[in-house]
Parts: sequence; C-alpha cells; structure tokens
Amino acid sequence: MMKKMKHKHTHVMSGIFILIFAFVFMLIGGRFLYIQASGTVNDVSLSEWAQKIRTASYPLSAERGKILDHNGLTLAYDHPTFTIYATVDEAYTVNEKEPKHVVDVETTAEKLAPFLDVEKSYIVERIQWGIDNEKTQVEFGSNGKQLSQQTKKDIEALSLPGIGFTKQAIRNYPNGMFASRIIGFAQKDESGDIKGITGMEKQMEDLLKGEAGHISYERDRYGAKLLDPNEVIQKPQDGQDVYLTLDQKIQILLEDSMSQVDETYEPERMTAIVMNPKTGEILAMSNRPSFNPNNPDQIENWYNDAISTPIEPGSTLKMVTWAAAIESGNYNGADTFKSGTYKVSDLIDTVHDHNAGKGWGTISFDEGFERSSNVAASKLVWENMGPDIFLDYLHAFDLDKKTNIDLPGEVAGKIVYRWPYEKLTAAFGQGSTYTPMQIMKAATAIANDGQMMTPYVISKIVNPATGDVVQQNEPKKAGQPISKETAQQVMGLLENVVSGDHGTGKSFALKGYSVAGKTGTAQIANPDGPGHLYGRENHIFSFLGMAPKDDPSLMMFVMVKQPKLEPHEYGSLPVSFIFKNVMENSLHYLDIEPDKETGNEISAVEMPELVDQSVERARQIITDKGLEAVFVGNGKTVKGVNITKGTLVMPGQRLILLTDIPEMPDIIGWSKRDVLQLAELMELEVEIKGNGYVHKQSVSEGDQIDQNTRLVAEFAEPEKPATEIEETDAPDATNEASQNELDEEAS
Amino acid sequence: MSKKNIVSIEDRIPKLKQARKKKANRRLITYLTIFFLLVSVVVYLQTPLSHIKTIHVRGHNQVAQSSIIQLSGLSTDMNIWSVDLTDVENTITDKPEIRSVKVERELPWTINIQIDEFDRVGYVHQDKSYIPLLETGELLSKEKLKQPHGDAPLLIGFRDSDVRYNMSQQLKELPASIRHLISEIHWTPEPDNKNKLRLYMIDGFVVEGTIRNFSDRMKVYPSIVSQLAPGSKGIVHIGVGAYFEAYDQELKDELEE
Repeated sequence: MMKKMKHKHTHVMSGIFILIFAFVFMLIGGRFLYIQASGTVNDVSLSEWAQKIRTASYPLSAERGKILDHNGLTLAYDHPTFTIYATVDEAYTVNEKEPKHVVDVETTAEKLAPFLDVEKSYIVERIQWGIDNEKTQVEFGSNGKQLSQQTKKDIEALSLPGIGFTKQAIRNYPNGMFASRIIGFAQKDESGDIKGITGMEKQMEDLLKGEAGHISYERDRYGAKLLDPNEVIQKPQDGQDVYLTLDQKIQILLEDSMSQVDETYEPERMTAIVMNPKTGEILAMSNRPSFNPNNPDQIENWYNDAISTPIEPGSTLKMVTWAAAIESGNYNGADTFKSGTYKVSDLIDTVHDHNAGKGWGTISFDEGFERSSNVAASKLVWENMGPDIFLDYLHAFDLDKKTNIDLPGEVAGKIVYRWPYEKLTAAFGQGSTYTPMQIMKAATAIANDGQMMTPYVISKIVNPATGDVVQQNEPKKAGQPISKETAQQVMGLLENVVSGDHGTGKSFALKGYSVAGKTGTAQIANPDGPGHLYGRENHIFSFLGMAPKDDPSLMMFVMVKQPKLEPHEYGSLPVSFIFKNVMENSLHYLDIEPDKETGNEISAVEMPELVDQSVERARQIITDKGLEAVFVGNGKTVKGVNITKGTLVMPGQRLILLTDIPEMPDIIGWSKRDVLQLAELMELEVEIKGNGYVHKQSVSEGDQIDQNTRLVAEFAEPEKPATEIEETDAPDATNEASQNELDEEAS
Repeated sequence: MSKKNIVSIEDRIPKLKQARKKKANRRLITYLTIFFLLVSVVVYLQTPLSHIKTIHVRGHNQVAQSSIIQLSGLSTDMNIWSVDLTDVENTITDKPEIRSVKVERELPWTINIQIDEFDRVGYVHQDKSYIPLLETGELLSKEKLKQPHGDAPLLIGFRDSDVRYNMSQQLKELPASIRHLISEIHWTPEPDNKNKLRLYMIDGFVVEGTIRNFSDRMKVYPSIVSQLAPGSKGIVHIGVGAYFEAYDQELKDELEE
C-alpha cells in the first residue's frame, strides 16, 4: 500500500515537472517562434533595428555660395579648416603592422606639440585621460581646432598612427574690412551651420546656404564597410554664387583712403559711395565706423549709413533746386539778385549766405550757384518757381521715397515742408533729410541726360555647379524728372563749381579729368535740444562729383561728419582727399581717357640734320631744340650721330655726336644702350659687365681710340647711399605693400 | 570730144611703172625695218645692254643691302626682262625681318627694291650673345650678336617664350620715342606676380612695372620724369597711381599721374 502510494506520488510529481518544463519550453519556444515570425520585439522591428546598428550615416554639408565682385574676384567664401583628434582605443587596430590608434604616447606628443603650439605634457595628459576613461578618441582643445590645410599636411607627413582630422568650414573674407556693410557677415550658429547675420549674407541666405546632403553605408563593429554596404549618397546642393556690382580695386582704394582719413581726422562718421551713373551699379561703398567681418565682435554701428541714416545734406542738394528751376522754365542764369540775406516777411526767419550773411553784393544766379548762395536757392524756390512746384520736383527726383536698392534695412528720409521757413531751407538742403543713396539716385538724372537710374548691388546669381546664370540684374530706369537739355545745363553749372573762378569746389579738381560736382557743408541738428550745433568742426562736409564731365563714367558721394581739424585746415580737406584719391585712380584703372591736359605733357622733337655741320652750329641747333648732347672729341665738325635724322627724340635722350677728332669721353653713369651706340659710332669693341649704369671704364677719358681699342665697361645698379638703405627700408616696405594692393597685376 | 577722152596706153605706162616701183620700195623698207628691229631686239637681249646695271635698295635699316640683293637672287649679269618681279617680292618677304617689299624696273638698267622692315624692339640676351627680337615677337636666332646695336633696348632674363612674346607686343605698342629711352629691361618674376619688370632708363632712372598694360603705363613716363626735381635719383613705379621713390632722401614725391 505504502509502496503503491509512493509510486503514485512519484508519478504525480514527475507529471508536474513535465508540465512545468513543457510550459517553460513552450513559453520560450513560442517567444522564439513569435519573434521569428513577426520580427518585432517590444514593437521594434528587428531587421530595421539591425540595419540601424550596422548603418553609419553622416551628413554631407553643402558649401555655402561665394560672394564675388563683378570681375569674379572672391569677396567671401567658405574656408576649410581642420580639427585634429587622436584615436586611443586599441580595438581600432585590426592589423598590428598598421596600427590605427596612438601607440607611442610620448613620441606622438613630442612631434605634435610644435604644430599645435602647446606643451608636450598637455598632449600626453589628454591622451592619457582618454585611455583612462576608455574613450575612443580625444581632441586637443581650441589649439587643435581651425588648423590650416598646410598644418594638416605637415602633420600628416609625420605619419603618426591614430592621428586624424575632421573638416569644418569657416566663413572667410579675404579683404578684411571691405564693404562690410554690403557683404555683411555669416557665422556658425549653435547647430554648427554657417548663417548670415547681416548684409548680403543675410539678404541672400536662402540662395547662399544650399542644401545639405548625407551619406550612409553598412559596416561591422570595427567600422569596416560590409561587402554589400547598401551605400546611399544624397549629394549636397552647394549654395549659389552671388556676384555684386562692386569692383574690388575701387573698393580697396576707397577703404584705404577712408582708413587714412579716419586715422588723421577721427571723424564721427563717414560715408562714401562710388557709382556708375549710367547704369546705377554701385562700384564701391563704405562707411565708418566699420568692422572686419572675419572678427565681428565689436560692431559699433549696425546701420549701413549710406542707406539707413538720413541726413540734412546741405548744399549738395542745390543741384536739384537749380535743376527744378531750369526744367520748370523759371530760370535765367544771367538774372541778378542781392546776395547776403533774404527776408520774405517779418514772420519768417531770415536766410543767410554762408559767409555770415555778408554775401557778395549783387550777383547773377549762375554765380550764386558757383558760390553756393543760400539766398539764391531760397529765391528760386520762393519767387521764381514757387514752393509747390519745387515740392513736385523733390517728388519727381524720388527724394520722398526709398531708392529700392537691393540691400536690407533701407530707410527713406523725410521732407519737412509745412512752414514757410522749412520750404526755404529745403531749397539748400537743410531741414529735410535724405539718405546719401537717395541723393546719389537723384544725381544720376543730372549725370545721365535726365534719365534717373535705380541703384543696385547684385549683378547676377550663378549656380557654381553648372555655371548657369540663375538671375541677371539689368540697369533699371527710375523715371525722367528733367530733360536732357536741363541736365546738360546743370552739368555746366556743376563744372563751374570746381573749375570756375568763384567755385567752392576748387580743391576737388582732378588731374587729367574734368569734374562736375557740388560741395556741401551742412549744419547738424542739436541732438539735445532745438537748433543746430555750432563750431567749425560741427558740420557734415560732403561732396557729390562726377567725371569726366562730358560723359561721366563715375559718380561719387563723400560725406565726413565732424572731423577733427587743425586750425589752418578747411573742413572739405578730408572729403577732397577721399574724392581725389579714389576718383583719379579709379578712372585710370577703368582706362578712361583723360579729357584734360595735365599741363606737363612732354612732346618729342624731330631729330635735326647734324652730320657735317660744324660743332658750334650743331651745339646751337641742339640747344634750340631743348636737347642734350655729348660731343666726342675736340674736332671742328660733326662726323656722326647716334640717332638718324627725322626720328622723334624725347628730352632725356642722350645725343652722341662724333667729331672728326674722336677721343674717349667720360662715360660714367651712362646706360648700356648709350655705350653701345657710342661703340657703334666709334667702331669700338666693347665688353659689357653687369647691369645698370657705367661705374668703371677701362679706357680713360681723353684717350685716343683706334680700331683695335677694346673697351671694358662695368655696370652697376644706380647708387644708393649705403648708410641710408636701412633707414629708408622700413617705410618703403609699407609703402610698397599698400601700393601692391592697388596694383592690378597683384591679384 | 570723144577723141579727147581716149588716152593711149603708151602714155600711161611710165606712170604705172613708177607706181609699181614705189610700191616695191615701200615694201622693202617695211621689211628692212622689221628685220633691223628684230636684229636690234636680239642684239639688245643677247648683249649686256639688257643686263641689270644697278640695284637700288631703299627703306632698309637693319638688314644689310647686300643680304637683300643676295636674297632677291638678282645680279648685274642678269637680263632685266627675265626677272619675275612678284617672285622676287615673295622671296624677300619670306625673310622674317621684312614686312613688305615692292620691286620695280626702272629702264633701262635699274631695279628698285623698296622694303619695309619690322622694327627691332629689343635684343634678347641669351648665352652670352644677343638675339634681335622683332615686333612680331619673332627671334632672329640666326643673327646672334656678340655686341648688340644701340637701336633697341636689351632684354635680359626673358627665357620664357610666352613672356617674351607679350613683352614684344607691349614694346610694339609703345611709341618709338619712348622706346628709345629704355636701356635695359629685366624680367624679374615674383611668385605672386610673374609679370614684374625692372627697367634701366637712359636718363638714369629705374622703372618698376609689369608687362600687362606696360605700353599704356609707360606712355606717361616722360611726364612723370619731368615733374621730378632735377638731379633726383630713384625708382619710378608705374602702376595704378604711379609714384617715385627717391634713393637719397625720405622725401617721396607722390605723383598721381
């Protein structure tokens, strides 16, 4: 019975065990089956998950588009830089012979240190830290970032195991402080993408930035690609290139000139614009204070003053006043008026001429323009045409609205025209405000036979991959406020401002080119109260000029606010310095034919017949012609000459006249060509040593010469006083450097 | 009446005879004339009478008269009529120095050769000798000179043939009167500017500039120099905004020419 019971008990127990095992087995097996069949665990698809684990994916960043000048010179581009890293995880080395991690910490550190400009110990410390904390890779702080291509190459040449680089781009502006307001700048944001902050970089952000791509492939746990890597490459779309109308050379001229003025006169503000008046293309534009877009940490002024800061321009606006009077048929230049002061009625303030209301007696209106008479301007508006007509013309010249230039942040000035006195002051550019660009736009009508042009900065947009022009900007007409005849008459008046006897703009005359332009000295409204600021320096000095007068190729506006002047200096001095420097060099650079005699043209003279003349007669002829000659020997007649009769001779050329009794002349300081001509005349054999000018002659002065004479002439560089070389070297270097920038070939 | 009208044949014979004789005489003279003409032509052609006596060469400066005559293949024992003028013109024009030729007969004995040469714009210094460089950019390698003539500047350092060609074109553009002021032109390339030049002028100034736009910029050289103080020495830089750098003083004249 017991036995049976025991037996039965055993059976039950084993049954239970079987059940438990079967259940567990089924549970596990079922799970396996389930996973096998469905392929998901916890709602995660295994095959997808596996692929994700295997697949390495990197974004491929798009290169940001360049900004270029109208000749295709780069003004802003993505500059590649490199960050160095060291792989410290031994697992990366598959083949012992080709280690992929840092094997010898000490040597690696020693070799790297000089390139990164850090102590060796720092590198050892970093690598050791990586090993201790079981990192795979370590970087080397800020010194290991932004390495140049060259440094990268140099380090790679050391073939250190485990050292690698990652590439980043930074936005680079090769010209530094250069049209910073137009180009603006771009910087990395938090996500590491370069993004435009101001100027063109911001305006054109969508076109410039392009579209990032990515690459993905499958790899094993050591990072090696699989045999069938399922590679997917989405190529990045590089940003498009923006071509500006700026000309790099002219812009550099402008920046240099403005920097010099900035240093010497420390003005409060400066603005200058160079434009092609026929098309409205902005060739150069700059403001001070400015900034270097490569290092835009301290920006004093976020506004592009040329388009965002309206000013009271002063007398430069008189060209509009006169143009309006002429166009409306209310002007006769020969009519006279009493200058000095102008009082319309007791209720209206008196208008004074700029020489403290003294005036110049009774003068013609033409002369009034030349002398920049406020009284003349006020009379033209108040009496000749009437304030309403003048207002119509201010509108016709678009002085009441934005210029529609393709730059961000444009502001229009404000025409203040309620009270009679405001209407009078508007005639000579006080009270109402306009931006420099508005004045430039209005002046295009005068320079361009009445046709006003809209200024613009973007010349075209090009897809760098295909070279296709995506967008091409053409000059845009902006109405015709005045007729061709009026424009030409105003041009004549403007020319007299610079070249006339009483002109206020004489200091703006250019060498070789005729200038038409108008000066301006505007009072500055007192920021702390009513009225204007007083004092000689407390003005805005400006000039708007175009050259050559008959067919202006360039038009320029310069404005300098509150320069620090020496007691003897005119306020227009910094303005004329910038204007002349930029215009003259730019006109030459653009190959514009000078239309004015420079006054020291040197002309060649025809070589007279001298052979067989007596020495005295020959001497006479030569002096009459303004030439210089050397007589060889003391003979009585001339037997030969180094230049054939009838050819053109320049002053400075050395005539060599052989007399019938030749003897060796003193040839120290002669050039090679002179010596060769002498040798030819005297039938000498000559040996040339060195380059430059003769400093030693083997046959001495006065020696007789025959066919067998052999002359050894030693040449040397022109003499530089040895002691002064060191002193003059330093300033020369800077001089040459700045000159090189201006040199066309240098780029 | 009718009798009067009858003239006897006997009366007419002497007249006929005379007429016949006259005719024969005239014919004889004609034939004789033709004969002697032919004889004289043959005599002219066969004797030195038809030979070239003088050959005039005009308009040559560089190429020697003798070498042009030699090239033309003409000689004084040649028949003036056997010369093919266009053929001679073509052979002479083949010489690189010659721009154009006009060959003319001037009877009875003279041939005129009017030539127009290409200017020599320089002598290129190569391996201790000087090779004339024409305005076409061609080097007259056959004509190596130990001692160059003084009619063109010396070009030193111009090994690169492209640079040499560019230089020749710039010199060609330059007015000859200014070319006469240049003594030596040195090609002094720098890594960032391959086109740099250094010139030694006859009047003692050194000029630094570049090959590009050389001819344009060099045109203002005389007026630059005229503005300098007499006796000053130094380097005239021609470029955008030419200026003068004096050797012997700190004073530098800025010339915005």
